[in-house]
Amino acid sequence: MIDVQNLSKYFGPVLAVNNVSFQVEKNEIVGLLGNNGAGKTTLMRILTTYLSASSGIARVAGFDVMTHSLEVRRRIGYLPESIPLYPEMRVEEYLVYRAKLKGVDRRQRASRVGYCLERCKVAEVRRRLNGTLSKGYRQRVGLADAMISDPPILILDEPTDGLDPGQKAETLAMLRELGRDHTIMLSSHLLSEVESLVQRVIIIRRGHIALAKKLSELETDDVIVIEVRGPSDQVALTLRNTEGVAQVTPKGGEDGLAFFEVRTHQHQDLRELISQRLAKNGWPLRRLDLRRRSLQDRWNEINNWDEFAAAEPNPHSSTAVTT
Amino acid sequence: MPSRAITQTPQTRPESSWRHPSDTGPSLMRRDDPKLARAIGVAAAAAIIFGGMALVLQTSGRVTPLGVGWATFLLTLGIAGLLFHAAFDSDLQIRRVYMAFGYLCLGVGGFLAIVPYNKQPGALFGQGFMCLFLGLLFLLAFLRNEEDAWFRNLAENILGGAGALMAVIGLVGGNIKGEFLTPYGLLLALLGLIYLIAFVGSRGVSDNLAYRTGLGIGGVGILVWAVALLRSALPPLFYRWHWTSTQPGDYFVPYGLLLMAVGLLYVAVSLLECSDWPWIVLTRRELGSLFYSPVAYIVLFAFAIVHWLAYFLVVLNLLDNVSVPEPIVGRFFLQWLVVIGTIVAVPVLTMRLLSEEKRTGTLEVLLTAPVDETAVVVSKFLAACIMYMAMWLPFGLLLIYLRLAGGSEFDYRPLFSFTIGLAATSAAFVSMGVFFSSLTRSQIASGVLTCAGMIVLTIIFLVNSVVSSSSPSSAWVTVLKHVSYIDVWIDTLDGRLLPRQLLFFLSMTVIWLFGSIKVLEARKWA
Repeated sequence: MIDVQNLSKYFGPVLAVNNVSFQVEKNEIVGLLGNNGAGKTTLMRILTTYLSASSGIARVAGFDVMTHSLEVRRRIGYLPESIPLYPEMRVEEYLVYRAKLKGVDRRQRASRVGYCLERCKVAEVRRRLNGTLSKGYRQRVGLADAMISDPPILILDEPTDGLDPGQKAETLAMLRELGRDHTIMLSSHLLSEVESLVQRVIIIRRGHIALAKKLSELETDDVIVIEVRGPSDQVALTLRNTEGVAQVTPKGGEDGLAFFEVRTHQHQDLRELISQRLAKNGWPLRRLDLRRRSLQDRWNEINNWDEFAAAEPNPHSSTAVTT
Repeated sequence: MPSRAITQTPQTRPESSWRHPSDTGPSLMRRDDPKLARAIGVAAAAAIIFGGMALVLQTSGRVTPLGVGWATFLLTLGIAGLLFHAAFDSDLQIRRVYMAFGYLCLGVGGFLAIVPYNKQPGALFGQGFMCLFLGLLFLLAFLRNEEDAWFRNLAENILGGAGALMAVIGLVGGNIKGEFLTPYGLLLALLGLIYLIAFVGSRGVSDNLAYRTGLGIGGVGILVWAVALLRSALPPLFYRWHWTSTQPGDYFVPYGLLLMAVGLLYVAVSLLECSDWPWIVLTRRELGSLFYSPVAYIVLFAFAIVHWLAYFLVVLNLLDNVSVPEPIVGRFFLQWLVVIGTIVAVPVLTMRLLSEEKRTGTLEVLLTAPVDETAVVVSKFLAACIMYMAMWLPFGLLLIYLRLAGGSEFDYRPLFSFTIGLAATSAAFVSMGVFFSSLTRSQIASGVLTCAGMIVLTIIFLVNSVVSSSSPSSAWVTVLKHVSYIDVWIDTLDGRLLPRQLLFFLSMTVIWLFGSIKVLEARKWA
């Protein structure tokens, strides 16, 4: 439903989106994660045709966002980050107006507005002025607006921002239900809620994709954590020379201890082999553990990239195409 | 013995009214307290009794402490107070009483409008018209609060039926007899239209009957317009082609024009009510937002004062001169006060149009819905144009008053050409305002730029005056005359409608609007 290829966006000298590529399948829920200023909102604005890309191609529901923007807009529901609403309009009046603009048939309009009011829990404030609503209500009115024409694709910029915990849980449950027959792309800062909702995450860092994986794949992405007493360089060399080891990452050390994280080819469990090698060299093993990396770990790794990697990642490596 | 507490089947609990906290608002909602409305209602009733009694006593020749003016003022205030009470007190008995009062007004109004008085049919039409209008207002206030479907349905159907009847009588009668059209037919057609708008608005266009009524209004409008056009155009043509030997009377001015205007008004209302075309939907919202903010009211009020001062100056002028040459109406509009009012009003009306949307971010929501930049710009332009033209309406009322109070006729026909000239020039002003508003997020900056533009356009007239007095044969005189909007006003008020003058302002409109659309599109490439 969403197909993005080598998309870049410059704001003058600022490269906001850097050669991004990904696809979102029909009825898939995808979470777009990233720090403030990472490029999430710019990417969403390009997908919703509000901005044009500097280069690259984006297709939504099979239509190019550049050349068929009206066709794209007919098929999306968009909740912007700041939820701008006309303050002088009443909630129900606003939704009727938006339903008209989005071409909801006259006969279904009243029932559709009623459904969205109920579904987004704003029925009680239907007669209140938008300008007098609290942040949580504004958020829900914005969500009702995005849903009003029942579009096949929902693009939601931080849909749970400003909601209290109860409302958050309800909104997530609603989105989960909507995700059965809608394609949803949402951005968020909160990893826990993304983990509980989405099938796939795309982590954006400084405009490029740092990670694009299904959550199920992420869970099998194991790391062997090692704590050993011995010379760091030699231990690292031994570990690297062990068959099946793909990557050894030193994590520092103190008092003669060395810490490592080891990734293996095809997620092999090499704990026994590694313990044998270390024992053979006479280095006492303090800890040998298989750690499943959570989304939080990946997030931390990506955001602390500068700390662990001397150089910037190759822009081409940011192109992560998943299916 | 087993414990009853464990073995006994728990009684079914009564259904609780408790709901999950997220289902309800964080604040407690309570019904509006009608105390204030009731106090106003009681005061209003007293005002009506005193005012009404004073009026009745005055008409029967008695002397009362209240003069006619004060009595009428009290009566008007009282009726306004009652309407307020009717709208904000939703108590069952009170709203039904107002419903009955609304029906009573309707019945009395209908009776007075028809019944002959002193053997003159329609002698009490004015009073009947007022009653019919009041009836509409009270029924609308009742509908605002009524929840019972049967009563709502009845009131809505009565409104719709009465509206349709008035429209048919006004339009058919006005077509049959010109004298009936002014004023009876015209007033009935307009009041009927307001009744029909109330009917459609109350039921909502999701309702099939209301939707078809809305479409019907448009159909009737097209029919009336077409008939008026044919009746205006065909007889002179037949006479010119010698198909008829009798010279036709002057139907086009005013009857044909009036009927065509009414027809177009019906079509416009139908479009605004029923159309889902984005241009119309957006224009409607824009007009609504203009009236939600105090800006529209301040501008209307200020312009009304300008009109009143202009009227005052003209009347002073008329009193000084024994004979005033025609066109009298020209003396109203061609005053510096009116020009200054225009220079200020245009920026005030247009400065927020696009800059406000940019500042608050609503433009993002708007332009990610299936509407293009052209629809956004044109709808804002149309709404501001309609608003600007509406500001000139008090002038019309003052002219009617001048005719009634002055007692002598004057040539009103230049008003038709002036309306067209005014529309063309205001389109150019408003489109300029839309363009400047598209450039910036700041309303102030947009307003200042538009005001500067208006001043430049006005200075052109002064430059032209200087040039034409120093070298009348200069080509610049012709050029500047085309560009000066005040010259267009002068010419149209003299009854001259020159397409070449209008063309400049219309092309200026197109260019400003095109520029605004391009500025909006340019956001994509920021």
